[in-house]
Amino acid sequence: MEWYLALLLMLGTVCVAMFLGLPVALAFFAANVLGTFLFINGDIGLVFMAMEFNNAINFGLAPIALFLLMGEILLHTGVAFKAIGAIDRIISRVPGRLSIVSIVGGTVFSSLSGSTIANTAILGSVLLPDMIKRGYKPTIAMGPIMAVGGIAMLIPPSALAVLLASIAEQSVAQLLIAGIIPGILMALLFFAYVIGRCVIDPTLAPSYTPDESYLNEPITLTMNFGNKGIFNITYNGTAKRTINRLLPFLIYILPLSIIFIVVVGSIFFKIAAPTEAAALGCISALGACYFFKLFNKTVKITGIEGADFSFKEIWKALIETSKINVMILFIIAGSLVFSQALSNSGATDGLLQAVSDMNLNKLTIVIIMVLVLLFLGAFMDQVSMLLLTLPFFLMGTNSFQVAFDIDVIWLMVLMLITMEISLLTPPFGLLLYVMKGIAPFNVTIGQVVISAMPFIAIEVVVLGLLIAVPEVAIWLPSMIE
Amino acid sequence: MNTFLDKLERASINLAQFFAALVAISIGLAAILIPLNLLIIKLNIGSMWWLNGSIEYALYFGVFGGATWVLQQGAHVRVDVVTASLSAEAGKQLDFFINIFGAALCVFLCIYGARAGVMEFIDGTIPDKDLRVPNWIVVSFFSFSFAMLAIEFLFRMRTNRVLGTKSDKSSEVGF
Amino acid sequence: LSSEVTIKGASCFPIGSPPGRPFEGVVKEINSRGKGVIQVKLMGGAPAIGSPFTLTQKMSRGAYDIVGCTEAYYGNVIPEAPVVRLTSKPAAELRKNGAIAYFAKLLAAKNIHYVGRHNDFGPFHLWLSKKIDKPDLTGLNLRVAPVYTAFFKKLGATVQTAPMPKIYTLMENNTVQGFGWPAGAFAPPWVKVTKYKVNPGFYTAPLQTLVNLKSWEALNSKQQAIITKVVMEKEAATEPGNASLAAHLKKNEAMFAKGGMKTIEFTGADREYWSKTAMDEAWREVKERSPKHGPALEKLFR
Ligand code: NA
Ligand code: NA
Repeated sequence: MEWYLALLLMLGTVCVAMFLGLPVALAFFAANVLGTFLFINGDIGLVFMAMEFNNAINFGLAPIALFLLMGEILLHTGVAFKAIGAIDRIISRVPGRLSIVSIVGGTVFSSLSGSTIANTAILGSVLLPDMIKRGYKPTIAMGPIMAVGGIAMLIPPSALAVLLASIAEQSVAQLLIAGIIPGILMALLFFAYVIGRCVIDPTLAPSYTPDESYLNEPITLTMNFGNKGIFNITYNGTAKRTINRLLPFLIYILPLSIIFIVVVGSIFFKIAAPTEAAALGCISALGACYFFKLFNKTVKITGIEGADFSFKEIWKALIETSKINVMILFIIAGSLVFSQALSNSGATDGLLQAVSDMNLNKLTIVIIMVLVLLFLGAFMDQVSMLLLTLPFFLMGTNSFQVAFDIDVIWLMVLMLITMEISLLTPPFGLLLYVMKGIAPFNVTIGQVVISAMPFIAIEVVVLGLLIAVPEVAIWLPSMIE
Repeated sequence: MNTFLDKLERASINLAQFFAALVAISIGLAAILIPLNLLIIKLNIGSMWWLNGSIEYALYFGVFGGATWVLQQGAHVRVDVVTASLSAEAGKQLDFFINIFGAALCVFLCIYGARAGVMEFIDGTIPDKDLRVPNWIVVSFFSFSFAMLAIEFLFRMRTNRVLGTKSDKSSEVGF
Repeated sequence: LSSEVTIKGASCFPIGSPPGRPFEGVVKEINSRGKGVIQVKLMGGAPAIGSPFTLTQKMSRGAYDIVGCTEAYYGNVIPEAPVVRLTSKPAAELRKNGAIAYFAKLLAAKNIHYVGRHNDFGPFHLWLSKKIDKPDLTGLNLRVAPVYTAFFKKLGATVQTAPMPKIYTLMENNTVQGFGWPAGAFAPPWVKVTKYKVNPGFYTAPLQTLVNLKSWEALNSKQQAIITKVVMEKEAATEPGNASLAAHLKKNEAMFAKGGMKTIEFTGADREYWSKTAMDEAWREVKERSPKHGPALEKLFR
């Protein structure tokens, strides 16, 4: 069979099965059955397929579950909500205040969670009702929440970065570190955009005086041992306004920042491999939640609420993690065998040869790859678009990355950003649907899309910047080479 | 007849949830044991040589064992760009087709998994790893998990648990 | 030409990678000498076309006709596979004393025809980031492949398995303080994280050409002869201590020295204990897994 027919047949089977509504993983399995039969020795190839799935699931995929678990623990114990509340307190009157809170809060939580969905869901449920009450227009209310949700996959911990690097057999540690600068850059641009827009058109986010009556309350600290109060002090001095503003931030954010330092620091300073760093992150998250639990009873401070930390919350976090992990690994298993069938059919080599014959330069190839991903990303989920293209883009020795000698970390960061963009692009953008699901008012998917547009534009700008200036992505990871 | 099928459906849901619980436990154990292993390695007092291998097996058995539960939860990612635009009637017909197709595919994979199990059993193959679970057990579990999935697709048709309905949270599960 | 037969080949290593090149050389040679008689169509290399651990098994079941592989990848097909690396004898001697014939018979029972050894990377060594003075590995955590797990454990090390691409990171963050690897296939970046090479080496690191027995029997004698001749020439050219391997090892030694790596040289009783333990433990494992053939193979190979 000619390579392009094989390519068409394999990709066609996945896409048709996918668009008919079959779960994505099974769409890959369907293509596997066909591809294995046609290209990997027919019947006997199919018999061996089961064993290949076993080989596809390896230890390198372990950090995905652990990074997801970190965020789920903070979510289900309620710590994440309180952290965003603390950020809400320290940001005073700025144009588009709640949108700014969502960008800062979202960026902070994205450094604690590997999951985009958790990030968006949490911001939406905490901040959207308040935004609506304050008369924010949907454009400026929903856009930042969705946009900043995507940053979770760029700033470590990121389950998607682990997935990408481990399937491509590249350095997971370097890719995790590489996402930091582009992620922060993106957050800053979102920040600047929101302020700029709200200054130009103040009706988008009506200015209001946040309820700051709590600032004048005296601060009481009570320590209890068992049921006995052993210590009690009240402060009612002049500094109470500042203390009331800053105290929740210090009590919530500082301990949480330890989690980020543990995860990223242990990778950056080569104390631990990514899997170990992810597990240390889970333990740190548990430790932080245990610390916050003290504020339920043992230590009582005005304005500080403790965390719900019991077996029930941990179990919920584990179950939710399991669900996402099984879903993702099921797709991965299917698609790895898919890429073997592609390779056996000659489609991978054929396409590479055809593209090589066109005498394109490196930059053109990179731009083509990005455009292909943006196109696919409009219609399918992140994992699928990744797994469809990886065999051609950067798996093994016969890929564009090797043939055109493209910096692999740079290419993977570009891929991460295209995936982030695809979360927001219609018709299939995961975050668009999450937002529609959590919005406390009736919105059409069209309105959700319109509110996302400016942020998609900003993300495309960042993508363009990274293509033009690769150092933005590769400087930091080069420090740990 | 109905009551028997009801019982069977209940049993298949319980079995799937049992596997889900095992997956959750294995992830929790990994989160605790990996740092512990790192600690004892850094202190030079040994290592859990079996840990990485065990996690690898736990991931494998977890993915295939848990897949049915994830399907019951409606949490397998699906692309609903086309299906969302269909009329209710056409959507119903498409769902029927998808369930049939899904069941057939899973039966097919189940059969080939079973054939692989027989082959590996005859060959007596054992992986060249530190932890040696005979290959026939590994692939037989693959076969078993697709039998569970096939049954789940058939039950979906029976009780009209349509993909993409309100209880289907597929658009909320992802990265 | 109607008499030309094309058979399907596959490699256990990525096409173009250092361990993959020797078999690609075999295929190239067969194709150039076999014009009009026999051609091998190389379908690709693992892991792109499937796991290396299933490749030989797949070949034995008819998915491919000929493969280039290392015994480390087909221990699942016959448990006696490791014996071909547990020797210091030249291939010619192993052929003369019946060792290869015995081994080939075991493979034949699994429908595999053993053609020959087409490459040898020379002995394995222990590579360390910490100095040791005697053959005692207590307190060290080492990265292992099943090839030498038993040996290192016997000397008191704790071990952890990890694939080759993880070695650099594990050494760098001191998760492991050493690993085993043939000097001839040492990856240049590892020099940065490796401080000591331990001498003497142990075992050997061969690659073999294997053919599906049924496919083999379907070939005529002229076709068989071309394959056999090409591989036997490679086998002869890569005997232990051959000129090209010696030159290659010398070049690598220069690379180690340039990177500041030191050599820990065991002498006298220590040296003997080291080498003997390496062999004893590996053979003990072989005999444990194959009580029936292990002892006989030990007499022939060791
Ligand atoms: Na993150
Ligand atoms: Na999209």
